[in-house]
Amino acid sequence: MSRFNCNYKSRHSNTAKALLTATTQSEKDLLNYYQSFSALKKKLFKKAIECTYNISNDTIFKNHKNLTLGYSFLKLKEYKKAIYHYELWLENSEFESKRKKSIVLHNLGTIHNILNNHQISENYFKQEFELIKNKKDTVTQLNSLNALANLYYGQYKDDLAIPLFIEAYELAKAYSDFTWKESTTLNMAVVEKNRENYQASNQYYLEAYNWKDSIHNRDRIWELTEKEKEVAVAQKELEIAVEKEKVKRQKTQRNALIIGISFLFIFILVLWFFYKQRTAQNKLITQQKEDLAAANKTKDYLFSVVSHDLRSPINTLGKLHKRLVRQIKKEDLEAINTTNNKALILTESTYKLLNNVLSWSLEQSKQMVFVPTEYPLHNLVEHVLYDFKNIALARNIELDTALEEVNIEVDIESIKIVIRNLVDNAIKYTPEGGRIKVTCGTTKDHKKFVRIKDNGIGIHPKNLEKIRNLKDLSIDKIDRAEGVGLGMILCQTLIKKNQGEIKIESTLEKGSKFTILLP
Amino acid sequence: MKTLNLLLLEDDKEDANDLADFLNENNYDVMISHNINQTERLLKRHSFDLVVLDIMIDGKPDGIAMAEKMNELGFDIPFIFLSSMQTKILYEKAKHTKPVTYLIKPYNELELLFTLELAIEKYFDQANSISFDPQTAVLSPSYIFIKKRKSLMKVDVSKINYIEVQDKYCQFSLTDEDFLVKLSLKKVKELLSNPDFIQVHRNYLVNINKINEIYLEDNLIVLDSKQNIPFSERHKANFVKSNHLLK
Repeated sequence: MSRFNCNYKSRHSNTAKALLTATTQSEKDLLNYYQSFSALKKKLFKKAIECTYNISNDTIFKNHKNLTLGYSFLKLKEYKKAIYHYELWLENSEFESKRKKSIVLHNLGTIHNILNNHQISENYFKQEFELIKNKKDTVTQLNSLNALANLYYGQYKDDLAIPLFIEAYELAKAYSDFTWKESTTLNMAVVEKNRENYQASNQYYLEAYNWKDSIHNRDRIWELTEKEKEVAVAQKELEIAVEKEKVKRQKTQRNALIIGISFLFIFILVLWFFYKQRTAQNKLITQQKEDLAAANKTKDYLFSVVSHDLRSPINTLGKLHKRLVRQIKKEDLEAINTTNNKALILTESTYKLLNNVLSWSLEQSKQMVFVPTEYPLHNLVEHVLYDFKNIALARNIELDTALEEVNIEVDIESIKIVIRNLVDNAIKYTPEGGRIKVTCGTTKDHKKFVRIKDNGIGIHPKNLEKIRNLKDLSIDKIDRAEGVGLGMILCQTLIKKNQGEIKIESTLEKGSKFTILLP
Repeated sequence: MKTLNLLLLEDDKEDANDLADFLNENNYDVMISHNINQTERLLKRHSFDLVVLDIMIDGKPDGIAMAEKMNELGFDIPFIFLSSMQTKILYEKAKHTKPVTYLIKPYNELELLFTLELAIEKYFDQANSISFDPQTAVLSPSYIFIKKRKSLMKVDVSKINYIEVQDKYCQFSLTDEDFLVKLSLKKVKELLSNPDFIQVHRNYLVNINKINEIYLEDNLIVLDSKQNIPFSERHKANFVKSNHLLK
């Protein structure tokens, strides 16, 4: 509302400014019209009248001018002037709307009623009534009916007034608005009361009272609804707050859950990590345990070798030397020679065993030097056989060689140990007058070979199987009582280490053939 | 033809003497030292073709220390280790001094002699020569090492008068002796890499210091030893080109 006022105000001031500069009559008329209109809206009736007067009479604003002036004077209670302008308007009202006409007629009726010109007032009201009769505007009809009825009633024209009151009452009854219902009913009550028809009057009063109640109720209901609304809103807000709280709680719960799960996950990871470490450690420990067990077996084995195979020959050597001392005293040269030869042979064999023990222990403790180098195989074989020449001669064994010139790339020392052991065995198991043939060369599939063939006693098939299986056997599985010596174990191990293999063929009483195959 | 001079470091006197006796039998001149100070003194006073170092001297690995010292002092002599120790630690330590080769005890005489040959041929980067085929030789600018029967001998290159092709062999001619080596003349020239020896013929290398007279018209070279060597046209041209004095 204040904004409208403000707008009107600004329009008022704007038009006032514009008026100062306006030149033509029509311009001035228009601006004055605006000013009067604004003034009217602002209920500045005097101002409105002033502005309206400034509008020239000939213009299109003539009707409007009279309407504005009529209304303004009515409001200012200058009824005569009001009547003058309204009547002027009515004279020129052929093209005006029915609504405007009915209003003007109503106003004129009212003015005349106030001025006690009942006849004229009645006239105007009737005209108005005629005008709006066919319209469906209940409020206007009620307004008009009421005005006319009151007019008649005021003049004690009860015959005319009462039907109108009843009509208004009936009309209002069909109409929804409680205020109209109440006022028309109240009118009826007064009418009946004045007719001394108290019972009916009472009835109407009651009805009016009811309508009033209804209004009150309506207001109350309105109020209640408002209240209810407020309560509902409050409840809703509460619910929302609760919901919010719920959501918040859920969020917190969810976060807590996420954190919990994360912690659990981390915990599981840590657990898993420790488990892995533990298993790795256990694995290491198991491995170490196995290694340790193997090392222990090796140690036990070596101890047993030292205690049996080394102790007794050394003991024998000692005895032989004591015998030599006696024999030297006796100066029995032949006996000295025999004893000395025995001692020499024993020393030789013990030394070989000792070498094997040393090699084996070095190999087992992974201390053995292992350097594959290129080397002439035939020279190697020749060098090894050189050591056996004397013993072969002594035992009347023919030691033949057929050596092809060929180079190998192996660890020389380990191959020497193997050939030495195999030749030693051949001599050991070949009777006097026997024959040993050592050959070397290249096989059809480009492998290098050394073959030691004898015509000795051969190997029993049971032992042969054992020797063949040695390459896949660990030390702890070898039963020393079964006659497999350290030499063969060493041979298989070292040849395997050189990526070679040993092939053995043997027939009892006919001889054996050992073939070392090397890459 | 000379024997090889060998220096032996061995703390056990009996072992040292046995070894020296054996090597003497096989035409090596052996000097014995029992500790590394002695070894160093002998090295400085005499010239040797080979040094044999026992690793463990009086319970200490002085053999390796001696090798280190030899490398440090810049002795340009091949050396080999003798050891009964097959342990890795010692091996790695010994390997560090870059010996020509090792000989691990127990070894026999044959292995020892073979190892000495190996040492010589390895030292002059001619592996698998005399060790593989005794009829070949190890050639160096100052000495030629050949096998005479089972022993290794050296020939002073400056004593050679000329070298002549004989089938698959080359005959090395000295004033008082000749010997055959199973190598091509081309290979001999290449391995010898001695500027004193020039090719005068498809089949001849001549020691320039042994030339007495050159008859360019007759295509003949007469040596101090009165031997006549043919001078081929092609090689003569090359010879004249590189010798301005003869122009």
